[in-house]
Amino acid sequence: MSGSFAAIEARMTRAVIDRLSNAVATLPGGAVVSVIFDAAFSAPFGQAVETTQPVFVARTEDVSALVQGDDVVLASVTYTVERVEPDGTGMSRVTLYKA
Amino acid sequence: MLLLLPHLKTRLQALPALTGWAVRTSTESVERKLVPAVDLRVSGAQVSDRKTGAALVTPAIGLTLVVRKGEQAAAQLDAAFAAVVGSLLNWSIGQVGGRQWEPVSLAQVNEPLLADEGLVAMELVFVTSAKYDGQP
Repeated sequence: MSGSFAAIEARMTRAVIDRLSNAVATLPGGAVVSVIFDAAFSAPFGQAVETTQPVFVARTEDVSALVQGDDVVLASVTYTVERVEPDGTGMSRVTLYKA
Repeated sequence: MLLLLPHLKTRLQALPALTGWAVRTSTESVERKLVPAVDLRVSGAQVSDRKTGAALVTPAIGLTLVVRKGEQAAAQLDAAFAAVVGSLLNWSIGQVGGRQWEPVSLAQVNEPLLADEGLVAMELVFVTSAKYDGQP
């Protein structure tokens, strides 16, 4: 039963990325994976500075080897991984900053 | 008391240790994307003493040092911290906005702040005081 559920979950996460991905990320080692990328406005430290908070969502199995400090390239821009947050359902949210 | 900010900004901009830093105040309409940066703002004020018709107002001036996270961040922040304290601590601002201000003192230093955006900051809070007159 759990195997069946895992298979459904894997199909779902693959479908989500296939339909909604808007970028590809080149990971350390050269693997290229489809991701949902966003870089929303952010004003940390009580608005002392204005910047963006780049993040992407990807299938957890595609980014399972990523760790803090790794470099990732999206649209020719190199980012450093700040945090990898698996959501427990097969997707991971990767928080980045410009290297 | 908001008029204190440009005076502090001018003083900090002259520091060699802050060459290349963007120094800005909360009341300015300026680009806030540049780092390293010093952000100056009046974060509040206390009424240190009061008598009929007068109050001693002590504004807290928050000064946030912001740098990019990295191997040099700690050294950058430490150098800026030392330069800022050396310049402002016990500085007599004098007359600003029509009132006499007490020498500046350092009231608080907050732990380094980390942001997911690859930035790290340190906040210093300076205070000074001036008498505000009301109705006799």
